[in-house]
Amino acid sequence: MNLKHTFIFFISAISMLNFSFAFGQDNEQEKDSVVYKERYGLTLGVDISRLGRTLWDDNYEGFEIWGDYRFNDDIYLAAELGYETYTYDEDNLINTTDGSYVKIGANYNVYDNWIGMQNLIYIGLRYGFASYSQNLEQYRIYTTDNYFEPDIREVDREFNNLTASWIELKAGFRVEVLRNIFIGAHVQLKSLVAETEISNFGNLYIPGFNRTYDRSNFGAGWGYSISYLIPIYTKRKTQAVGN
Amino acid sequence: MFWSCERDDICPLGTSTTPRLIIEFFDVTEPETNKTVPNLGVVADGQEGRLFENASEIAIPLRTDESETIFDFVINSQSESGGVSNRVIFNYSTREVYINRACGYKVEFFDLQASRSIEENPENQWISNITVEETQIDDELETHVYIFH
Repeated sequence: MNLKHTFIFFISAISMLNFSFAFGQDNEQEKDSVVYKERYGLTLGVDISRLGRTLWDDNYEGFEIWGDYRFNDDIYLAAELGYETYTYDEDNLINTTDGSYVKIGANYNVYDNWIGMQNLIYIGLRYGFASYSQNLEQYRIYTTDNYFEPDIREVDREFNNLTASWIELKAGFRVEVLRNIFIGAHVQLKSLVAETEISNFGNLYIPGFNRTYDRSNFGAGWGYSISYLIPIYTKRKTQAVGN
Repeated sequence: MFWSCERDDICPLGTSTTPRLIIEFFDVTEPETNKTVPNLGVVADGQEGRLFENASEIAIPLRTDESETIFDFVINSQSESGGVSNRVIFNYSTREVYINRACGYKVEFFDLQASRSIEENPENQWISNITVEETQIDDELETHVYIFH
């Protein structure tokens, strides 16, 4: 887990900086409280794990941009927008899913920052919706008795106008590595709410949801992101200092 | 890359897949009684043979890419003479049924019909009669065809 180490490193580094900074200021102030500014604004980001997978996985192409708006101290209104193309290519079946998705919801920051810091450890909730198509390219008539030669059917069967929706729980963190520039990572747990039923076939992969499972409605995902905070306004905060 | 080695990419053993044809052999003089066939050789057109040494019930696959499968049923196939061959023809319709992503599709058969060759020399007619008991083949739990000899 390189990223975890990176995360700890950045958290520590930033903590140290702010620690000395805060106390440096405090010495010049006679009061028993610290006044500081917090930036409020719109954060825009891209999912770099999807970019990476697009490069190294021949069966995958995907892109996601996301944004959130700091609504109050802890709550960020959030949305993701993306598209994905994924080819399931195994012995008995080859199918390509192609489509786009949108997710809307909010994140709740559970992390108590040191003064002046704006990192996040958050949990979030999303409603996701995808519109996509599937193309069944090839399948094999499965048999345990291999007396006859394999019966492989090359078809080009399109399933269009498919939709799916789901509820997604998200957890992640975001660290400011340069002023207004953040890196982050997250995991997702999802549960399908609705999907277009396909006669005599299934939804193997849903853009934004990730792969499906035959015996459950659950799904999972993860990602890394890089993002930029566009500050819109700042709020002055006062925090009492002990002693 | 954990997504490339998921377990359900492998079709699990015990999945209900394309069923084989179940044939039971009976004594033509006592149609209620099973009668084994000594060294029954079963050969589909253009395929290798398969030997059932002393069976009164066999399971054989049907072609899923055609609506007809032709077999030669050879009794006493291990004898020096090579045994006696009768031809058996199965006609049917097929239906593809999706199983899951790992197994792909299976085929079920319906409207099954069976016939046997009429030999010029009656002495070679070891199969007296063939009847279809189940016209639909969607599992291997039932016997689909009876052969009397």
